[in-house]
Amino acid sequence: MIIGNTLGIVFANAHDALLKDMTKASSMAAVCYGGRYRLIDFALSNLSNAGVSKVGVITKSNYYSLMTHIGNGKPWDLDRKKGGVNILPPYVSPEAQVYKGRLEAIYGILEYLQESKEEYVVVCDSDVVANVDIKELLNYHVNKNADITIVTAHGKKPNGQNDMMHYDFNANGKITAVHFEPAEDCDYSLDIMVIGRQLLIDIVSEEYAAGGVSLSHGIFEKCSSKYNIYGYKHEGYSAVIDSIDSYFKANLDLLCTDVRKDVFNKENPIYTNSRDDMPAKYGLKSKVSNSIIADGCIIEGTVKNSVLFRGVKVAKGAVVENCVLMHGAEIEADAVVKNIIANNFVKVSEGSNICSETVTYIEK
Amino acid sequence: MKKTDCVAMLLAGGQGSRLGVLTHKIAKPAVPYGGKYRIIDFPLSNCANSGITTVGILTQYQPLELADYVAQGKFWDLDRQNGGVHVLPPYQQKSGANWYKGTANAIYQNLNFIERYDPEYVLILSGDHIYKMDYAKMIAQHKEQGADCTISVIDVPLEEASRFGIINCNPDGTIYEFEEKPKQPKSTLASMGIYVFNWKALKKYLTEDETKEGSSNDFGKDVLPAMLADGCKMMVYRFDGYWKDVGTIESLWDANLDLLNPKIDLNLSDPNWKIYSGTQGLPPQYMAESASVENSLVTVGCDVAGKLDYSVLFENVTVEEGATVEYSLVMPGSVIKKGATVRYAIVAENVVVEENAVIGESPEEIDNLDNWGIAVIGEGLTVGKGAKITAGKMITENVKEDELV
Repeated sequence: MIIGNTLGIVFANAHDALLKDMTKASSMAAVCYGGRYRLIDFALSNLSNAGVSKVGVITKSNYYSLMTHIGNGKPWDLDRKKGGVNILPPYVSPEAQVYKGRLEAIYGILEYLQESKEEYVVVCDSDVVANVDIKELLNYHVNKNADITIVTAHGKKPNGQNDMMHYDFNANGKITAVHFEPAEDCDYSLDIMVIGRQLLIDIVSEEYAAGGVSLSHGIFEKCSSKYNIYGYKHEGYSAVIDSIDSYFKANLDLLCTDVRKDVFNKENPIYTNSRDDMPAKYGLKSKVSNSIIADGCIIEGTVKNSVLFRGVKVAKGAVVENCVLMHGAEIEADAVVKNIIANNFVKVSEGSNICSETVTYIEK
Repeated sequence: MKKTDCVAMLLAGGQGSRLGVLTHKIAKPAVPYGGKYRIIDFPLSNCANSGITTVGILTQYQPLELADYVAQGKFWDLDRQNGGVHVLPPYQQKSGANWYKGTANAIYQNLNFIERYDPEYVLILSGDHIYKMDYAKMIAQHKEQGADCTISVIDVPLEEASRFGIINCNPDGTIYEFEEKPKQPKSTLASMGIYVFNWKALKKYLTEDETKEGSSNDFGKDVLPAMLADGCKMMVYRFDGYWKDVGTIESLWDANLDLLNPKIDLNLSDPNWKIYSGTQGLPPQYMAESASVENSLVTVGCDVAGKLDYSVLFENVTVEEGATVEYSLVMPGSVIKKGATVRYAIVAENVVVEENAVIGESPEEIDNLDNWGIAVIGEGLTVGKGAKITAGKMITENVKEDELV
């Protein structure tokens, strides 16, 4: 049974720098998404929905908000006697600095990997919005007799990360070539992979000893001829969050019914920490269209093409258009906001006008 | 078992027969309320917020869904090493098996449960009301006054007083008389069915009451009057917040729409006194391009493309384009299809209202207001295309296409 025999490893801080101000105070994993989620909810829910009951979350910095979010892992059914979710803070040995890349990060948790009993490991980043069927992925991995299986999406390669790869496959799905350059129409990596636990330990130890810093370079440049590496095409929706613009777009993508049905499908729900807010309240003369609204919102004005997180207030006469308003943001009476991402608890005062041509992030 | 200062006993066994089809399959405390809650969330959240962490829930009628929901009490932070929530159905004893005969008998049959915690005080609650209350304050007053029993009361309008159990007390709060639904009320202090007892005294009176011939084993009718007759110190605790019985279709409907009334202070997400609920794993609501929503409460999993006014939508409700929902409650999982109209109605869980069906009528449409009432559609039913349900009807079977009920 591969399901009970698989461990999850999630990188909480991978690519933090790409979101600039948004990750100043928290990790990529803790970035809010879709009205009530944080990005890590996708990795944790995908793993949990596949029956993976032991997950290690590798952190680096700013992990307080992530820790309070994850807690004991109850919302994802990861509060377990055996396994469950473990936060793995950066391991700093006397001679090493805090890790720079994923290779060093995994090297830092070698002991955790060595002590684990599971045969397989699913390694994922927390900057991808996608409802991935990990159960199917694991079965694919076993059926192909693969050493490593990488989840890919098809389309224009996101250009935020300079080390993002795309691949060529043979007819059987085996990866035959790896490319790093930008590409329009390709199968690019969603940074989710299955690998044997022992193989991961071996590759990381070897590479680290040889002075390598990048896990993907380590695996692909040196090992692709040595190992059977397969691609698993994720057919559903996916979004890689690698810039403020892609963050904004990924939120607004949810306004499309097909995307919403795919990402929040009923068989594999995405779980998050409950805040126990009351249902959203719509006042007299409220006008809301094509928008995602979270519980705890109080709306008395106009909201259009927007995503409102929990507890957002839109007062009388205010207009919100094309916006992502995070938890507790407040748009006071007669204020107009357009094309903005407002951080938690940002207050736009009465009558003011913030209409931007391009998407603008407003900090508190 | 660690000694516990106060154990709460929540009477959740009632059928709530006046709620008709809404309680055919579930106990009254499990009835949905306010978009994402159930009635029992109120006493349980109040307990958690008041620091009372040992709660016995006495169930009898249709306990399955309620017991499932309560589970280990984790939604209310009541899954504790010591105490926590315990569902207590009637059980077979050496002397034979008995249903709970009355409210007092239900507690009597669970003396052992209470004794395990060796409490000083026992708090008796019911699962019939919507209110936010700090029980700790009531218990503190009880201790301070050295009472044997303290009863929580609320001032009700004189014209409504005859619907309640009325308590007559001296200016210092000492109770001297109980009147059950008096025709000529002497006071307007209604009992809220919330009692604090000294456990020793309560145990004595419960045991005595069991042996009394002809006793209905009820707190209000038997135990409290017996204590009063014996000269026990019985005090009132005055409560002045929002409190509403949701025992009838009209009061349940009213209490839901009260959440939309800006003059009523019933904030359920007040960080200092949150009401918790069991909603899990649902995406936020989506309001479509064609949606038109005013004066309404809408929660997770809902998908609205139609028109909403003065209504409460519970989890996972769909209102399709061209459908109208006004002055109504639509409970979890129900679907209101294109062109359908729901007005002055309660649609229970997982109902399908097919295209162009019309449910309920507004009072203005009715000649004789005596015939007006809230229309109710029972759980899991289908109302066929173009069917019409008139005001005040309670539907317990599927309604065929174009049928008039």
